[in-house]
Amino acid sequence: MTLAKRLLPAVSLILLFLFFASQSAPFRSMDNITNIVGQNAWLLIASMGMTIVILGGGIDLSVGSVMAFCGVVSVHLMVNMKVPVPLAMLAGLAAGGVAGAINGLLVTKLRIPAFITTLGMLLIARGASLSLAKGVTVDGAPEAFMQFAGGKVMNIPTPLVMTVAIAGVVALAMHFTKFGRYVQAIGSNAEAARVSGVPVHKTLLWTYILGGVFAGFAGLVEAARQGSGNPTSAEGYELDVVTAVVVGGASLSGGEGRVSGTILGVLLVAFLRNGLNLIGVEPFLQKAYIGALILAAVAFDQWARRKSAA
Amino acid sequence: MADWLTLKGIEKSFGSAVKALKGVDFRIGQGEIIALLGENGAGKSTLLKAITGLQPPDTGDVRWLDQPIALSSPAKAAALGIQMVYQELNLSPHLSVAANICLGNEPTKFGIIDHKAVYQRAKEVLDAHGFAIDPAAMVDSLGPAQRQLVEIAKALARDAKVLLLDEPTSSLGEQDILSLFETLRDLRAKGLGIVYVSHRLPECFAISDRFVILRDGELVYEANTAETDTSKVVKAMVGRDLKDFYPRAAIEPGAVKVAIDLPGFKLDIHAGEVIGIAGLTGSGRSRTLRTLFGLEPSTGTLYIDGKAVQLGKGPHICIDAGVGLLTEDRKKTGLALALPIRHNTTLAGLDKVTPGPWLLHGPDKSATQTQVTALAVKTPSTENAVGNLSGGNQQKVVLGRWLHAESTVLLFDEPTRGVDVGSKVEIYERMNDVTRKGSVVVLVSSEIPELLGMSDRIAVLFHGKLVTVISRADATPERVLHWMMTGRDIDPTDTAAQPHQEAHS
Repeated sequence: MTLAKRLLPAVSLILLFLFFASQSAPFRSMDNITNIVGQNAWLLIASMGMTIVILGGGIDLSVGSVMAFCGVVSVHLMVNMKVPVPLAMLAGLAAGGVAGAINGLLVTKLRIPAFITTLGMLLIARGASLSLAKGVTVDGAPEAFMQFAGGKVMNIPTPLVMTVAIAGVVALAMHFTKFGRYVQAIGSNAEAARVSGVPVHKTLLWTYILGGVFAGFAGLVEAARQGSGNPTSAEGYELDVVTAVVVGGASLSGGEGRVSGTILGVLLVAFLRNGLNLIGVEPFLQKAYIGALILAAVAFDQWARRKSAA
Repeated sequence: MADWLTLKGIEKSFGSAVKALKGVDFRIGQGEIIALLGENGAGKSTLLKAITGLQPPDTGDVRWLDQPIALSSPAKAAALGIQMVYQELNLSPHLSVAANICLGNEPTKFGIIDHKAVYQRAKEVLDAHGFAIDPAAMVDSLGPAQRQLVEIAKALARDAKVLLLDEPTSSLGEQDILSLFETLRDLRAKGLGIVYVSHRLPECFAISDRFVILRDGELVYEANTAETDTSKVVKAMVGRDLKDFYPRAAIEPGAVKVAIDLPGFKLDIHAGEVIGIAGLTGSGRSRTLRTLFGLEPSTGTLYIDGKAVQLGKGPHICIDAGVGLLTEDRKKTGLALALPIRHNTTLAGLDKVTPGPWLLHGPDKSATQTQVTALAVKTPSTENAVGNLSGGNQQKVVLGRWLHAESTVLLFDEPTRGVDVGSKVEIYERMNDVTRKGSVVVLVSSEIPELLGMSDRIAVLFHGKLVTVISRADATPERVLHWMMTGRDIDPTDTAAQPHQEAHS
């Protein structure tokens, strides 16, 4: 990755922040910043999983549905089955892991393209959530669960603590484990990795499992924030996640991307959406801005690539 | 009768250094089949590209039916009636035979494709030449032989006068080859000029009227088929003497280190030996290496230092046993080009950097630096992307990967392809180094001089089977090439007297 490419998200983020801060007084208030973190904790967490999947040369389109599914499973267990909160949450994460494992097995063993596999999982997980919740939101989540997203740890909002911790762990893990090195090598050239003895299938399987677990975690955060398990929630969220990862400098052809870039990508998407709101851009048009952002990021990537090749 | 095409003094250079064609005279007459031969890099494909207008020559006189012309573009060559049938077939599998034959050339009615006319035209061409193929059939339902005929029909539908065939039989069985030959003789009778490019000598003798041989960009030999024989042809192809270009050190072989026991390939290799594997394209050279590396399904066994290594269960088993493979295409299957030298160097031996699941970057850097220094990889830093290195330095990184993994059985598949001369010699020196330490090198190369220059023994593959092992002292280029092309040893009386009898053997 060229230096320009690594710096671009950071520079854009600073410019965007300064622009909104100068245009809108509420934007720069501490309350708003806390609010942005709370609203986008799910995005950062799910983007961590997606970064790993995309780094390995894959894609996971089932993130939104898996988020909803894991939220519904957890809340259903605590509300309807009276399962203790921590256990129900673990079950939610496990549901995400299972969805990811199915994705991974289909991609590696049956060689179905990731795009198709996870598109199928998108529908399956959504259908499973709706069926489990009988089409309606599962309400009445216990207070202990809601604290998970709304509380504070040493006077710092839980979502902020959580996201910083998760991002830190993932960044370190990708840098200081053989798994991280293998994922990057496979994404860059899967055949060369195989010929070097890298366990390609096993590694890819784990990228999808992690993608599913992180999506599940994101789903729990959202469910806790809303105090319910909504089977129709998080629809289309995978697109925000892919946007954040790509804007953060990852390449959809694999092998290129870093956790730090994704964090910047998440912040860019989050600030853009919040700032556009606060300076009074109509909500309908906001989607168009996000779309322009992803096109600009990819256009720049292609331009930089051609330039370094020349 | 005037020749279709006459080329005189054709020159073609790439850059300032590489002269691919040095004043070649070549003519294609009416109603004849020319066998065009030469080793890799002799200038065959450059000549074909000049004829088809893909790479117009720098200088030279070009005439079509005695009229001066310029072959300035593929469209121009095609308009004259020059058509090429490529080795990799260029058909669209999901379209019908008729649609493929008329592709880019469709008859239209009111501006839209006239499907009836497409079918009609294809049928006319197929019937005219007696090709028993249904124009409505989908191409993906056809076998390789029929696809080959569709390719030829496609060229004929464009009114071909000159037909260039590049290794047309490489995917055909015996029977299909015979019927292809029938077709070609038919076309010859109709006045077409046919250039038949192939490495398969018996076929060239069976079908051609005239031999033309290129070497190092020059036309070195031309003779009527009836007046030449295998040994003359082979000698013309090989030509040069071995230079001191290959610095193979004399190393006393040790005890048997590797025993290969594959169906059709049994061989013991001693510590310190370089074994060359010779064979034509498609004879199974690369496949043998990939099998020994665990990449291909196999019922065979490999023994290293007496211990059996299970094959066909993935490369990690072989890597653990000490086998390393430098793949034929390092860009496609050897290196992760976008990643740093360091990531590529230690990839196969991360456990030797740090045990367990962790990866420490200090030891990783110093392990890489060790190989970079030992192999003299020219780079400012181990963090440089491997794709920025020259071909020779990239190859050194792949070699460094296996030296880091402490491999003692090194399989080299075309290790010097696309590598500059200086790096070539360095790679040969590293072969000397590793064999001096008792390792074994198995070298696959399509360059005979390289095989002869670097191997202690040469194993020849013919149709997937090991047919002979020739010691360095007994190996001559002619002999090795003869074994490669016929699966038999040179026998002057036999080959000189009855070249035609060898056809289809």
